[in-house]
Amino acid sequence: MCGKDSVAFWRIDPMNKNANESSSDDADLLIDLSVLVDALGGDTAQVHKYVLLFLESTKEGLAEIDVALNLSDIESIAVVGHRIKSAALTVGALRFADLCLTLEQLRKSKDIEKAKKIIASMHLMLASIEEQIEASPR
Amino acid sequence: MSHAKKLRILMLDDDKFTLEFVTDLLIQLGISEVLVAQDGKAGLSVLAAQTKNVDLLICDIEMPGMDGIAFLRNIANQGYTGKIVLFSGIDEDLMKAAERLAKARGLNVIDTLKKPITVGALAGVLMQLSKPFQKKIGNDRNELIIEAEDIRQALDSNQIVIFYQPKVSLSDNHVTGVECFARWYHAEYGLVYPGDFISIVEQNDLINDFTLYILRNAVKQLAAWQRLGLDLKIAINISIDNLNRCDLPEIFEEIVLQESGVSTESIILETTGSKLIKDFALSLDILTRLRLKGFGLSIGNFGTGYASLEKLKDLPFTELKIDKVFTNSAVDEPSARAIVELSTRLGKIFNLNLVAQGIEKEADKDLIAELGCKEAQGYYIAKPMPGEHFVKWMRQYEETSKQNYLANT
Repeated sequence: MCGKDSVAFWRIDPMNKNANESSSDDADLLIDLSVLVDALGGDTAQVHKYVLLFLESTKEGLAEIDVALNLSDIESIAVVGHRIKSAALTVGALRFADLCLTLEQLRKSKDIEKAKKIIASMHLMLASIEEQIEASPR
Repeated sequence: MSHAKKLRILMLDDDKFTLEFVTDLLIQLGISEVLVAQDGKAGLSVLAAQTKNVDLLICDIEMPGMDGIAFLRNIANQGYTGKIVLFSGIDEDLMKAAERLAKARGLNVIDTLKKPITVGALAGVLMQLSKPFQKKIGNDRNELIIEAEDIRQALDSNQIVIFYQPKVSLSDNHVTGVECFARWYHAEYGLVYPGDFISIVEQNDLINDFTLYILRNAVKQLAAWQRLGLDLKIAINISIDNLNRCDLPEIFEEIVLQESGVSTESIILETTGSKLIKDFALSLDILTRLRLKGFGLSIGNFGTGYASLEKLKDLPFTELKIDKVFTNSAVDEPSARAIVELSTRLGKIFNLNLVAQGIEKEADKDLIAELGCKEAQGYYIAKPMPGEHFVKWMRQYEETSKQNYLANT
């Protein structure tokens, strides 16, 4: 078993600021790093590197999304939403990935007001993930 | 993974994280050289700059700028011969469409990977790299030069023979019948298949002579099998071009009843979707009277070409054969499975015998049985074979099926 027990300290529950206590309800997890550990074939040593890379590339993506939002450019918002979804799925930030998907799907409705709300949620969620990762023991 | 170390891989993805993550995993798996590009245009530049071959492309489909589809079109035009893995988070049906498109362009797509990627999935891909690839663009055989006169002579001198492909019941695996396929033992070209000469037959008004030749020989064979006590039906392909003379039912009936003594109920006449009916009233007249005389009528390759819902509605079919493009991909593709399910339901509503064509593996057979097809035909069961081989094959097949059944109960 490569996974869940060995990275329990990485499992972050947004409702409980104590990052060492993982939630019993997986649906509430902001990031479930056992997904990443599984993708790495059980190699926990690499987890931190990819979490940092996820944070860095996602921040860059969100900055691009902010620029596109200022221009009400829903197509670019959707393209970047699609792009950053992969990293979120890979590291186990599944709720963040869901927001990326919702953003991607706005291509059809072109609902810029909805995009604003989702993007605001993404900023908050990413900040929360980052804060809790920094606070977690490694 | 010593084989993998020698490989050069180019990976295209617009996401920085994914590029770095997958590159690291490939290095972990022993690949020493991984090239990267963030869109199709950059990928083309990287490929153009190489002096050595790139062995594998891992290509994202959805990228801004030049996307994966446009990139693949470009490399196909440039004659790229390496292996390709399509890699994306897009819907499964879109991924399949992209795969089909790349293969249609002659590219060697060995696998598809769904994001997010795992080291296990990549290892699986690298395992496939040693398999050989046979590029299929058009017909590899030299073009055959066949004249109408050659066909006339072949018919006169019995150079055209019939191979029989079995159909089996999915409920108890007994052999229910055979479909006839013409094979021409050509002095110069060896064994020639109908695809190489049927169009010449049709264009030169030889189709009635050809069909009657097949019918005569097939019913003779059927009569011989019936004398051995075998209860079989025999299916013969008829062309839409056959449906051009009012007396066709009488001619067919005479050949079957008088020349061989088998019953018309043992004969299934199978139409395919390759041609549009020109004279609907005449065709309906002929097909209806063939039914009245006892012949079965089958709509083959259902769901492709002109073998359409409209034809099913208008013509008096007794059997529906679901085309292999659906049956042999239904296990993997939800869209193909849905079409098989729908065709099966239609067949039941119209009270037709349901046959699945093109069964190539056990999983295909199991699935179509579960979906309610009654009979199956395809390479998984048997390829078309000469008449003299059939009885031995049939006895072995039924005996093996019986033993498997007893072993499993």
